[in-house]
Amino acid sequence: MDAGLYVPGDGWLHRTDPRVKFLISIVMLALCLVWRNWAFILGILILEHVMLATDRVPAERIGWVWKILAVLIVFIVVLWPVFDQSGTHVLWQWGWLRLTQENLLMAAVMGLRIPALGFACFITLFTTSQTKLVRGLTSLGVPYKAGLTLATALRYIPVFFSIFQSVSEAQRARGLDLSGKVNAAGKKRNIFVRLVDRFKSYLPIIIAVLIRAYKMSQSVDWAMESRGLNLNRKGVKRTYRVNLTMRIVDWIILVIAIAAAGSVWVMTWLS
Amino acid sequence: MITVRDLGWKYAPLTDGGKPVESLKRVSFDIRSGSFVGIIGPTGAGKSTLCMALAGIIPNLADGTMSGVVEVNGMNTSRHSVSALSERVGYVQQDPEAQLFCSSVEDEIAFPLENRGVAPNIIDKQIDIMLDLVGMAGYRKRVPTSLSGGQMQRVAIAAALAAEPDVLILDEPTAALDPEGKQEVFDVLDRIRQTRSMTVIMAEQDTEHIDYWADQVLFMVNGEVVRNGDASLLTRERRLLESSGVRVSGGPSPVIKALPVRNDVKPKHAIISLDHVTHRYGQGGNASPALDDVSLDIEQGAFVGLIGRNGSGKTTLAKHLNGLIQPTQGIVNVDWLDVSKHSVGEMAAHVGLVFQNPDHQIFCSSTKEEIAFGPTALGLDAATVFKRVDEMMTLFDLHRYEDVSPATLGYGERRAVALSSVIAMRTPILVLDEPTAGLDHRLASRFLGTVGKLNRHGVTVIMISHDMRAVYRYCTHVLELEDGHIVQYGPIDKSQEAQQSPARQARQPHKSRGPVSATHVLLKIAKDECDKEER
Repeated sequence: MDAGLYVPGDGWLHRTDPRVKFLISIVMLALCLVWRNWAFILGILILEHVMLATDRVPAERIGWVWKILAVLIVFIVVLWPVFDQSGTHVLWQWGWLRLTQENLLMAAVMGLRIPALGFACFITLFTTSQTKLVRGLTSLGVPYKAGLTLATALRYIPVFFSIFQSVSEAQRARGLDLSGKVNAAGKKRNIFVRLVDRFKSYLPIIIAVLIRAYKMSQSVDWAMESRGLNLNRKGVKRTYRVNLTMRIVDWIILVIAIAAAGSVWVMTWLS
Repeated sequence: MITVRDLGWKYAPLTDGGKPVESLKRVSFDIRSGSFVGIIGPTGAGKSTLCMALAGIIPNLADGTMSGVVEVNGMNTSRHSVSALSERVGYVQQDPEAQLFCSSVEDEIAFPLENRGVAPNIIDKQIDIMLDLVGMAGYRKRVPTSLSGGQMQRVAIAAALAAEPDVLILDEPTAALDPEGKQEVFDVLDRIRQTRSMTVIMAEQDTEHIDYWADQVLFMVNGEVVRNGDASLLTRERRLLESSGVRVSGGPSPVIKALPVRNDVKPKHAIISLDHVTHRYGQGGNASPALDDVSLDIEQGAFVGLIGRNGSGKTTLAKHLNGLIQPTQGIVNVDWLDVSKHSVGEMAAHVGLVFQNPDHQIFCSSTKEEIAFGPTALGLDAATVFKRVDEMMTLFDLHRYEDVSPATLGYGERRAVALSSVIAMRTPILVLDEPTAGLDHRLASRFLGTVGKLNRHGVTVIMISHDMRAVYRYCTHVLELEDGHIVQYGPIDKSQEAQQSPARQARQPHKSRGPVSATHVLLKIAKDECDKEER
């Protein structure tokens, strides 16, 4: 997690023009949101893994995405049938809780949709360096500073993540024991108390991280200014070290992406 | 030429209804072009604030009110933006993590050039020249955060210099660096100054290097410049400097050598024992282990100085002692407990760990709560907790900050809160990760004095440090690591003979060995000619 979300590399996705990758990500996001078909979403999910694997993104980074999404996936799959009472084919009923073929299927769709949406974003984020991300955005008409702000925010996510970890370590090093079934005074703690304790312990960490984030963003702002971010020389425009050019391959990928998206859209429209 | 006249600065209060903090008062001085200026003074004297004023951060970006005039090479800082000033002034901050904001070394250096509208092919060439100059050729594609502290600061210097300013301002650039990293930074500055005329202004805690390099020294106390003179000031005004908390180098730094110990004899009272401990970081780490087959026994009551370069595995070792990191292989026994069988929370009653960065361990909303957190978590009753908190606040003079959020305090005070919050737990073992980095001599001595006293009462202390003088003075044992291996371990040899070893020369400030490569000079000349033609 040194470099932020970007995984340094030279695979085919890394070489693809960032603008094409933006389009691929957006198309995948849109299609997954529009079409609630488990087979289709599973297909997209597999496609995303194939794309990342052929780009040689290490398996542990892909595993990392699953790890951070796991809680959310489990949460939604478990809660979906509880709140969605639709469907006629009742499989099991206990009081107001109904498990039907339909709501279980929807739970599965939702469970697949979250990683599919996540990986759709990571196709761009894992394979696009900060520079190319900014460059891609600016060439599409996004103001430079907005692009820079977004890219810098992404760059510092892991930094704040590690500060969070560090403060949490500091709490434990000073005797906060969240795993134990008894507290320091020897009283038993039930699972509910333990859960509340855990969330209570996160609050000060979040405040500590925010204070640090504020100071750090100030420092970054100073560093950018003192290297001439707002330098407005008359008649001089900002240049870019990296310039994007659409290669033939990029056009081909673009055409394939649009064709695939179009045919899927026609299929949903027909069905 | 830099002119500062009657400069004053009041920081806007951090909280509503707070008082503005006056941190510069009636500061006046001149700096001649091309000189090397050292700004020295105790923690909280206003050194960083003065650097910010010279770079134009004050008054343009920081919140507060300024009085007086600062003129850098003819530009009045209050009439020009920081970006406009950056044409003349480069600024390097203390924390490398917070000023390298790009995802590759080359982009860091390209950033100022892009802002100036330099053509891409020239940017490309300039990146190579700058990296060559700071001795980082071959690191072009690297991610800044994967570099060592010294390397990161060299990249920051390269980025500040890429657009060729006439003045370079450095705010304690070496505070977090090991002696070798420090030497690297000074080498680079020297090399650059051989290629062209450049004014260097550096705030620095370590007077040893200032004594060696500086043409002019500004000595600050409480926001005022009390002395302004050449480097001889350091010897002339020695007593004054030392009474304020600045350490004046008293001769060469000592050589830390362990007495030979017989490996076959195990100490009887090993309170800490590591048995063939190896640790490999998973994701993001490199393939080589951070700790490689480390075995050692630490006797009860020892004061161990843990030394070694940045990245040699010191912090990793420290975190094994309370279970924050578990060994990949091997067994860690602390206070006669197998660490792998106990949670970190349980180990907290046995091992107190003070982190490297106080900001990473302060999390309560008031100083009182912060210090009380540990003892309360250990299950002590309210009366005892109150007594310990009170004791600690008296010891470190913290009573006036009782209800203030510790995160808003100054650096020295944050350190004090972090240390006292751990000492208050009265654990039989204390582990301190660079407890005095960034502190002046007076505060550092007070910290170490307290720790030394605890040690005499039987507390076993392990202290990570780059300060060889402190290790020599306070520690009984030395443990030196290099790339995850033990280089030496044993009682410190305090005899005269040990000090005569050749290793001592390497630690002194010295001129860089290699000559400046001819390409730098040639490129510089070629560039000047281009400029002339343009005109």
